[in-house]
This record gives sequence, structure tokens and C-alpha cells, in this order.
Amino acid sequence: MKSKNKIEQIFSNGANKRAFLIKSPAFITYLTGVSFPYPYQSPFLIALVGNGSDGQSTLIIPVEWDGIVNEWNGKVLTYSVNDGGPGGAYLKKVIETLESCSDFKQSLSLDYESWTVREIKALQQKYPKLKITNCSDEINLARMIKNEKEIENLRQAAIIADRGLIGAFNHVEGTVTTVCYTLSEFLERVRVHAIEFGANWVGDLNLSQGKDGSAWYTPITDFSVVEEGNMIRINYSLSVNGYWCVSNRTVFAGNPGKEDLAAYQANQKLVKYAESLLKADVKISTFCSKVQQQAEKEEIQLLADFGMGHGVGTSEYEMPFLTIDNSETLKEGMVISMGLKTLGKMNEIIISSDIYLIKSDGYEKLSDFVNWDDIYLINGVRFTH
Amino acid sequence: MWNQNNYSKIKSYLKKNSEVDGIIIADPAFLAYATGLNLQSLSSNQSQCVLAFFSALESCLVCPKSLVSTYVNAGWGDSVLAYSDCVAPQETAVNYLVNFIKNHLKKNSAIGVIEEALPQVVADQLNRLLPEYQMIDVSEKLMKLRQIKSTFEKENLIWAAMYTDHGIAGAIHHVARSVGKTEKFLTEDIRVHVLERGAHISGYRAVAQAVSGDNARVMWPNAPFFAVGRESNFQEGKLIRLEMCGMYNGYWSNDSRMLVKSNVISDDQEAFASSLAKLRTTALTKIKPGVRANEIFEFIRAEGLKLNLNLCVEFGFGHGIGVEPVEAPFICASDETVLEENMVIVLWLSARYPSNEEIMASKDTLLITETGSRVLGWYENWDHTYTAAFTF
Repeated sequence: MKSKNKIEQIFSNGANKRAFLIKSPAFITYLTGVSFPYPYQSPFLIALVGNGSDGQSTLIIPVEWDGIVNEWNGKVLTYSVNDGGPGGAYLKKVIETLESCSDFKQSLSLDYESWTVREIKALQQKYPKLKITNCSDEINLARMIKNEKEIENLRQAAIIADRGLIGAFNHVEGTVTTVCYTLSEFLERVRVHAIEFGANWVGDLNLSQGKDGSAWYTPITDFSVVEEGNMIRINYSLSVNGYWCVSNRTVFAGNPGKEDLAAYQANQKLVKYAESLLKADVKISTFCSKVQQQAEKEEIQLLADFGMGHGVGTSEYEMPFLTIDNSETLKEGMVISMGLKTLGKMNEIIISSDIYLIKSDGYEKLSDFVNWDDIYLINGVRFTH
Repeated sequence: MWNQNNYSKIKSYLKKNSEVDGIIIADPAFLAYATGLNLQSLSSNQSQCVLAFFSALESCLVCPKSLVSTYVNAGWGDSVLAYSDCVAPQETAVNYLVNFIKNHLKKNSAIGVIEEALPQVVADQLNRLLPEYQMIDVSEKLMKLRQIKSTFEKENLIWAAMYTDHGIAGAIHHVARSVGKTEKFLTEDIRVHVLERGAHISGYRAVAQAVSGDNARVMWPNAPFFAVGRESNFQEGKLIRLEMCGMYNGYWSNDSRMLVKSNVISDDQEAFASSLAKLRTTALTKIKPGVRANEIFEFIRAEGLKLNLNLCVEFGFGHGIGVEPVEAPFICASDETVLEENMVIVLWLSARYPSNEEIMASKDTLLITETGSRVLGWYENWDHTYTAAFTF
């Protein structure tokens, strides 16, 4: 019922009741509470079609996904690749569903950014007088402020993200002086432990070691192993009930030298400063520029051009974006991932990002399973492990 | 690092085709194809927009500063135009691209775009900022280009298929009749074994499934847990559906096998499995250059009826594979694509096992040869249904 309320809040509002057609999986999960298997990486498309006047809506999914919608009161229709390939069959079903939508005359509210040229052409060909209004901003604005249930999902995702990492570290600890863990298997351990602690699915997976970490994404294409004396950065994402955590942590294999310790401490010193600025009504551009100024003052090599964070919710990266050109203000109830990218002694990117719930007087850290103020050491030697 | 890229293929297309003077690429799959770097997160990351432009002489890639080193490491030797993280990355990236095009392509030139994947909002901005240029849809032509695999692509697809099939075989070696095993454990075992063989680790859809009983009645059981497996133990004597999508150098595998969790196979299971194996053998005789995808579909459907198989016709019987685990052409009722030499497709035969309508499947990667097709990556003879060891 709750998810239906979200639909009503946006599309059944006063005199502005309208027919709607939504394609973005993140929007659909937000509106319906239904999550889908890797929708952005799938060749198959989904849609939510509905009436503003009565809040009734229909989910359109590929027939391969039949059975995934369990706790939603709306109607579910499937399409088969046999009806025109994934794209053609999808559009046919969308148009067929629009035809049965009582609010749909010649105007339609849709998330314009999600639609391709070919899809818009097909809609316009079918309805030459079609008047399209873009509802993306309305949905994005609503999505930015999280309710209690959403916050709980995000908290759980954040805790699982750290537990997944710690679980994997625990396997590697004791093996750093022997050739035991390939980077690939190490990263797989992260996925395995996130799943074991309750992640519904894992998204991005990246690990960089030592100087390779000067690049943000470092695909692993060999059997390289964990090597003592290196910073290791892991970036990954996971979802719980359709809500995401993006996790970025930097740890050290073996015993760090003074320079490594200093680089990590500098990063965390800047993070503490940034945290002191986090609260509702702070302008995002001001926040970013103050952090940048502090980095200059402290002579910390901050990669300010790489951004400082973003919202998390039914997508991994969503509004608000913590960028210096963002004139929006932080608001109570926003949940953001904030992390600062600074450089280590080999120019490797150091980051440890956390998930913050913005409050009127500050923030609450949702990712509070482990304290990352000091660099985490993957260490220890054992003959067998 | 991934040093390959396909842009020579795109450039040679541009030299041969005078209808367009340049091509804009904006979607993650075509970007993976063109740059050699398959960044799956681009599909779902609103804060990063990557665009590429090719003409016969010039190329450029627009990306956020945070990705520059990644693309350079991947062998991108041409111009990289980088923008700082910002509140409107798509709009910013298009502005950078437009400036490059204005400086490198004369007015009134024709620019190819992939309308099938190009966001309308990007097209609107391009049309507004480049009124002197003509945009032409090249979706079909570029998709065709992607469908015919180069030697390098074929090698990657062969390794991906081989490691995955070998990995599945390695994982099921750990299944025994008298030893308990959960879905979650076997799912993990498959992923780990595929990686051990040499597949490259990847997130998102690079996952496995191992399901039986009621969970096997749908393709994605346990929602909202997707392909991570649950704690349920496999029952002795049951058929188990195994699946894995893996990646190698940015190219995918998409494999499915089945096994019986017993050292003995029942008569019903044997009849079902051997019918599916027979259907695969028969289907392979039809898959060759010159045959339309929908003809193959109809042929398989008819042969399946003869074998009394309850085929999952609604899924189609296969698809192309490359920088996406599922891509065109589709072996389905509506696809009239004529198969050509050097296409790589996945033959996907799935049917419902009679007693409980569990979906069991066989997925084989095929390279279309001059005269027929070649099965890639078979680790063992899957015509015989795999039965578990009694114990270990």
C-alpha cells in the first residue's frame, strides 16, 4: 500500500491527475517497491503505466522475469521476445497498455531522460498529437528525501557492505606473506560475504592494488596476488530490498610505512572536516568549496574534480550530487554517500566513503559497523589458512 | 589491462560507407565495443556520462576526469576530453563533444547516431547545438557490425565460453548424492570455479544460479534475491539447473547445464534429458549461414513437439553474445536476421520437466562457420546427463 501512495503522491495530486509511463528501473522500484534482476545491465526493458485519477498501474516486464513481483498490488503484464525482439515487443506491450489506460488521451507524463530516440519516435508515430510532459524532476525531488523504511534499507545495505569487506579481509589475513589470494578471488570473497550477510545482489566490483590504484577502475585480467606493502582499494555496490550502498574503502596489506600512514591520516582529517559541515540547509557548492579550501590549507592532495559524493537510494548514484557547481542545499532526510579522494605516496587514490543521513543539526552515520578512522591492516602470517 | 579496441572496425566502416562522416556513440554496450573497456556501471551511474565520436580520421572520447586513467590504461590512444564531476554530466559531456565536432568536422556533414540506444534528451541537445549537421540513424548497420565478430573477439568469446563450461563442471564435481549442499553454496562454487579457470571478475550480471524443485519453475527465483542463492538444500534425486554468465576481456559467456543430485538417474529424467540432447543435435544441423533466425526458431519448435518436449517457446531459443551476454540476433519468431559466418550465438534450449514443470536448460555457445556451426567451450560431453558422485 505504501508504494502505491508514492504513485498517488506524484500522479494523483489535485487537479494534476494524469496518465504516466515510467521506464527508469530506479524510479519504478521507488514507486512500486519491486526490485528487478540487474535491470540496467539487462537487454530487457520494463515500464510502469498508470492512471493518476485512481492510482491504478500496470508493470510491464519480460516473460523471463515472470514470478519476481510478489508484494505489489498492481497488475503485471509480460512480453515475449517473439513479439518483435526485446525492444519491439516491449514497445508493443507499452502501447497496448496505454490504450487501456483511461486517463490517457493525448498527453502523457513520462521520465523523458530514460527514453531513446527510437522509442519516442514509435510513440509519436502511434499518437501524432501526443503531448509529453517530463516528470523526472518531480520523481527525483521526491526520491531525495527518504522515509523511515527507506532509511532502514539503506542502513542495512551500508552495514552489510562493511561486513562483506571485513569477512573477505578475515580470509586474506594470515596469508599476506604467502602467495595465497589472487586479487580476483579476494574480490569474489567480498561478493560472497556480502551475500552471506544478506545482500540481495552485488553490483559493481573493483579492486586496485598499489600504484595501479592511480586509476579509478582497474579491471583484473590476470592472476595477480595480494602483495604485502600496498594500499588496496575496493569499490563495490550492493542492494537490499532495492536500496543501494556504494562502498569505497582503502586498506593496507602488511605493515604500512610512515608515508602511507600519513597519507591515510590526511584523508581522514579532511573527511572529519567535511563531516563537521554536513547538515541540513548547507548549500552543496559551499560545502564542496570549503572542503577544497581546507585541503589547500592543509596541503592535502584532494581530487576535487572527481566529486565528493552523491545520493543513494533505489539507484547507486542519484541526486543530490556533491559537486562544486550544485546550488542545491542539503535537506533533512537525504541519504548520501560521502568520501574524499586523496593521493597516496604512489599516487594511488585513497578513499573511505560512508553513508550519512542528513539531519537538521548534523548527520547520522548509517555505515557504523566499523570505525575506519585508522587504516585497516590486512596482516598476519600462518602456515595454513 | 585491456589493450584491444574495435575502433579500427568502426573506422573501416566509415571509410567504406560514405553516407556518414562520423559516428556518435552514447550507450554503454557500444562504448564497450568501441573502447574495449566494458564498464557495466555506466548503465546505472547517473553521475558519469561517457560519449565517443569517430570519423575516418579523428576520434575522441568524452569522460569524467575520474575515468581518464582507466581509459588510457585500456589502450585508448586518441583524444580524451575530460570534464570535472558536475551536477549535469550528460549535458556537460554533450557540450564537450559538440565543440570537438565543430572543430573537426565540416558543416553539412552527416553524423551517424544509434537511435535505438541514444537517449532522446541527448539527441535534442545535439540537434539544438549542431543545426548545421545532419543526424542519420545507423542502428541496424552498427548492430550488424557488432554481430560479425573479428578474430580477437572470437578468441575472447571462446575463452569466456571455455572457462565457464569448465568452471561449471568443476563446481558440480563437488556435488555428491550423500552430502548436503545449499543453493547459495553451489552458486558460489560455480562463480569461484569459473574465476579459477581464468575468467575475469566482474560485478552485476556476472553471476551464477543453481536451482531445483519449485525454485526452478521460474528463471529468477527468490526475489528480491537475484542469483545469489538461498539456504535451501538440494533434495537427493532432483534435477538442478545451473547457469553462469562470465566475462573475459569484456566479452561474455552465457552457459547453462543440468545435473541430477544422485548417482542414479530415473527413467523419466533420462527420457527428458536425452530428448533435450537430441533436440540440440538436431538444431545444430539447421544452424548455418544463410538461414534466418526465425526459421531456426520454427524448426526447433517443430522438432521439440516431435520429441514431446514442453519447450519454453516464449523465451525464444537463443541470441547473439558479445559485449553483452544477450544481444542480437535473437532466435525467435520475429527475427528475420540471416545468419552469417563469424556470428557467435547462444543456442538456448529450455523445457519444463514434466512432473513439476521445473525449467531445465542447455545453453551452448556457437560460432557460425562457413558451412555450419561449431560448439565452443564444451568441457565434457553434455549429451550424457551429469550425475553426482555417491560420496566424497
